Amino acid sequence: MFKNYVKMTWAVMRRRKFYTFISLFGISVTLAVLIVLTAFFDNTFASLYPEGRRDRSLYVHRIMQQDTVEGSNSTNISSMSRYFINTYISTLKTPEKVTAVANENTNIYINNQKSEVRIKYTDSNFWEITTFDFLEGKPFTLETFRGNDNAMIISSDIRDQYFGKDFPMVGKKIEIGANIFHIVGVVRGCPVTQSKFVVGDIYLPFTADKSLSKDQTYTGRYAAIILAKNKSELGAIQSEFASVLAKIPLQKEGDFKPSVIYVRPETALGDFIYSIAGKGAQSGKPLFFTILIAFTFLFMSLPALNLININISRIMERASEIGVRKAFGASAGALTAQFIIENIILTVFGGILALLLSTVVILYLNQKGIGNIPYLDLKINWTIASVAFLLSLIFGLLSGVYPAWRMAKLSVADALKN
Amino acid sequence: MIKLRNIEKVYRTDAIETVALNNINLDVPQGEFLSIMGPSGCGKSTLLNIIGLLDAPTKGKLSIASDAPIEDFSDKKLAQFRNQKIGFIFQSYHLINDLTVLDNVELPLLYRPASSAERKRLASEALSKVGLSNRMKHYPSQLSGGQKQRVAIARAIVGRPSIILADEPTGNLDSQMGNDVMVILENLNKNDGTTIVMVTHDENMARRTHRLIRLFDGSQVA
Repeated sequence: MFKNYVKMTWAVMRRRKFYTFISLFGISVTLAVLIVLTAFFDNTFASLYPEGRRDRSLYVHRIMQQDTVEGSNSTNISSMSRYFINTYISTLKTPEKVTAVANENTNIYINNQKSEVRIKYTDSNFWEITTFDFLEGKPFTLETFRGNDNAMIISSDIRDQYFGKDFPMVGKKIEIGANIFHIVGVVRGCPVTQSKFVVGDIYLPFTADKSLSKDQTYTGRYAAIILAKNKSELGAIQSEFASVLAKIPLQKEGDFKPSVIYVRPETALGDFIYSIAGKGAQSGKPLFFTILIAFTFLFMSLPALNLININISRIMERASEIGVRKAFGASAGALTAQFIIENIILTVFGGILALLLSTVVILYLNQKGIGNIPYLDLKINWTIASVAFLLSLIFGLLSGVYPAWRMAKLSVADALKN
Repeated sequence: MIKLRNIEKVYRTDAIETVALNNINLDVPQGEFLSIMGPSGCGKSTLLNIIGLLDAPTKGKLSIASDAPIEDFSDKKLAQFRNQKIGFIFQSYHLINDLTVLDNVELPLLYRPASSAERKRLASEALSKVGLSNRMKHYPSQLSGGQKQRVAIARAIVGRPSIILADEPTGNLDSQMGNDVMVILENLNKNDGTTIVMVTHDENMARRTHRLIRLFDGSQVA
């Protein structure tokens, strides 16, 4: 019976090539887009180079203070100061290590060429929390900071762009502002799709950060990465920090008198969600995931609606077949099953095409990059690919039910008049 | 075998009511070859659809092969009953163009418990009976009208039904091909004892059957 259904599906697919193309195009492109988007999503949040320990890292990138006293409702959202990180985060007992990192985009001259670079001000822990590959030289150490060393680490992108591949860089000097820095290491570059906390062109010791002040204010331009001893301790770190935060004295700044302060150490994904959907004590996860699921559902329903339309328009075309099958003993249930199985076979075929298509797209992107994003290392997430495939099967099933029901309702006598 | 009592079929729309069949009483004993004649629109096909359980009468009682009340049958049971007891032959063949001749003939067996090998064996046998064993792998579009109708007959007899209902089986064929089809039906009736009810416009074909009834405006007139 099943073999017969497969034969019939194949015959129908071949008979109306344009309809088949439209159906398969809808299914495979939708699934492929979803698989590629998930690969990007994974690439952004998974433990990949240069953040191989991301699965046991927490990120804190903003401090939110609200003045709710006497009807005022002003809010101040900012990055943190090194003082805040040193005083309230680095002193936590549960984490293994904490680093503070600040970003600065600036124009400098490298090898007599003007260049816009991303500078990261880091400490020695930064190089122990991240998993950068040193192509040459070594990371900053405590000595770098003790000696107030004008040391600098550059990414291989900068080296390749301004000096040439494999050009020896350690010991070379680059001027930034009025200071001369000497290069102590070259790290393998990474795509900007990786964490905004760690991707940079030039890494300098935080002691070179001119914005650092001795004021004990909470706000500044630093973010923190907290490394747990193991994944299971992330929750404990969050709890410990919550109890520390509850005791933090509030700081007045002029007329701004905050009554409440929010700082959330979150996982990479949690931090991303918090930054776009969260506010105050709310993580934003329920809203984010509701929107994500709704979007995925709507997106996946497009090929299903397409299939429903095509199937309905095909009912009259297949009226004679429906009539004959009914006359010779097919019950409404058997016909419904046949039509649904035909749809599922088509969907499975579309799913296989989607996997092939997404593999090609991912290989292409990894090889060529997108615009100025080199080093993409996208991978197919098989869990998501399977879920998407399963979803498309469910949609295949659903898109078969309504047309099959319409078909089963067709009277044999009427069907055979065609 | 087939008993129709006071069968009436009325098609109703908001504005009009059309009587397609009016008080039809008919007994067809087992092994009879009956033909039904009448002008177009007189209700011949409607009557055949009612006997074939493809349409339900508005009024009256119908029994086929037993005294079980068919009007109480569920869709599934009606489908099973048709599958076991009745074979259909249509004027325009109604072969599935996407399937080979063998697959077309196999079709009724898909809806009963039979292995693929068994289905193929029975379908090949049915095709030999109509003289088309050499056309099994062909598609309907590669056959002449007469050959198509012979495939349709093979499909109708493959499940060994006790009744065959043929709606103008020679209507689309020339006299030679029509005669070939008629010979096959006569042999089925004579050799296998299959009860055949045939709707036709052709007096010559009708004369070759055991009995002829005539319909006019939905009523039996002879």
